[in-house]
Amino acid sequence: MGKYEENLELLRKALRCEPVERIPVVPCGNAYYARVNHIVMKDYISNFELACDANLKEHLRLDADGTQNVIFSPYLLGTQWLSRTALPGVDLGDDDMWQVMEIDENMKFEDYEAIKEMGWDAWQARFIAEHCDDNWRHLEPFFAANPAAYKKFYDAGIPCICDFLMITPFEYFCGGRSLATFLMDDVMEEPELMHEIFDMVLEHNLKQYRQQMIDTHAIGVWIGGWRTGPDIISPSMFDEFVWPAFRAYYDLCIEMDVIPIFHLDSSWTLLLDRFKALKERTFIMALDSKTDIRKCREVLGPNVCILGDVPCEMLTFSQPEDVAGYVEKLLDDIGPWGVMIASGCDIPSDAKPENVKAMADTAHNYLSARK
Amino acid sequence: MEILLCGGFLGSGKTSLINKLLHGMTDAGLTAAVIENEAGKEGIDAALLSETGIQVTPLFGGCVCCQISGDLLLAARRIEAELAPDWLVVELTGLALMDGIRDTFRSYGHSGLGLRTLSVVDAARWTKLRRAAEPVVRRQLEGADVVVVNKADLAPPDRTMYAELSAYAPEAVLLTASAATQQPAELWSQIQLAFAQQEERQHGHT
Repeated sequence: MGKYEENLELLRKALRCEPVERIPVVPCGNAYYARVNHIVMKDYISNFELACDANLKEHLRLDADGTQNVIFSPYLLGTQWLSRTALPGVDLGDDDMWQVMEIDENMKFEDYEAIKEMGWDAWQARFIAEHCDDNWRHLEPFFAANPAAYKKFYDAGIPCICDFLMITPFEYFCGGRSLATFLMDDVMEEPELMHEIFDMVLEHNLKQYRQQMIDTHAIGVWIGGWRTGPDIISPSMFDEFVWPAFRAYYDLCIEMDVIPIFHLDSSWTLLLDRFKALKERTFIMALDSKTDIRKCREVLGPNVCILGDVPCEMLTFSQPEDVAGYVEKLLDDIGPWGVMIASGCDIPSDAKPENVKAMADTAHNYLSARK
Repeated sequence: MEILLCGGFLGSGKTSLINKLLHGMTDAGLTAAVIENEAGKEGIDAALLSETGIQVTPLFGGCVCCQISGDLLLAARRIEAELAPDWLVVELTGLALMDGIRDTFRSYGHSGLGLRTLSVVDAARWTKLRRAAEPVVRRQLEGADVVVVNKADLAPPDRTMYAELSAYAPEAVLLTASAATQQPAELWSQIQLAFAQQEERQHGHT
């Protein structure tokens, strides 16, 4: 078995919460990879060969066991929130971070009728072309660069466990309409229309994601919970408008033997019990340090894999010994089996490289230090 | 340097309020700098910036979640070292959760960094917004020292609204404003008074 297959099996063992030879480290942190390699953001988001080499170099320095993406384009963000994205070198300074633009009603209420008439696929293609800087066209070089980037990571023995993102209907529209308008005028005032539209989107996405899983030979995917957590919406709104998509995406992953990774931003502590409905040892909870990770272990038990959750601020401001202490305590409390170590959400762009290294080394040395 | 974190939903009137506050500060002889964390919207008053030399630092944070707290603190430290203004006003995105950012500043900022938090609420949209997005409304208010009930000229707030706001932010001082029409000096002194009252309350509790 080659290194790639060994690492993939290590990750699968962690997913199944079986004993492992070492605690896997699976980073995610695009802006950080650029900064640590002294690459200007404008170049990082446009030269994918350069970006891939930078990403890989940092993974090798960390001796990472897997990755959450091989390359990245911020144009993806605009497609998932039906928004424009301000980009370094275009709207921003050459070395600024990209950011999704919050514009009130980039998408109008009348657009829902257009979706019903045109169908989701045709409507979103037109809308993104006209109102989101033609993101799909800008993404063509990114998609074209993916096979070579995957090959480099494969040759280095590092599996990617997130091949693409699964977006819930709620995420698209809370971005396109802007959060307050979407919640106040659409979800609260027109719930039946929302269900009708969400069903159309979900039906289309399930077909598209199934095909993507086949085309990309996907190992895993993110099911994104960015603006749908209990810090943003009520549990009853989540149950009615978000969970059905989570569940459908999860079921598709299981059917297609693809690992579902619930990438959950902000605190999901109040909704952890919802995930008890899913089969143990089949999915990953990726938490960003705002969710109580120990509560997650307590609620979901020892047979659910948890990925996370070294706080971003700690990676930027603390010292390596603080990070090491955090990782050790985390593994003492929720591990050692069924854990993958990573930052909570992306490694921040200004993280200290020595702190990121301390995160990886502490995880890797954890078991041997206890023999 | 005093830092003023200013949060509130898109459309609540944050930018109008900040423009007036900056006018009020500079008219009072104070120096100020601004961090803008919201991309793609009407920005800070350009005439004011050229008249006063106030520097605006744009700060963007990927998908607006994990990145922003640390980046904000780093930017604040840089501005303190390079410009040392009397006030650093930070305009947060409507999706920012005030309490998390405040906690980062308190955990990793130095003790000399004065931090004030202010949430802007649109009086006209309050009832509907609270019904639709209670969790995020709560998170934005819970960390606030002062809550500004804005656009009061369009929709005068009633007792019920004040009671609801107080329930979310019992430590905060509530004040009513109409940032679009009020004079800068008046608004700035209202805010200063509110911060002083809030400080008194804090000391009264300790």
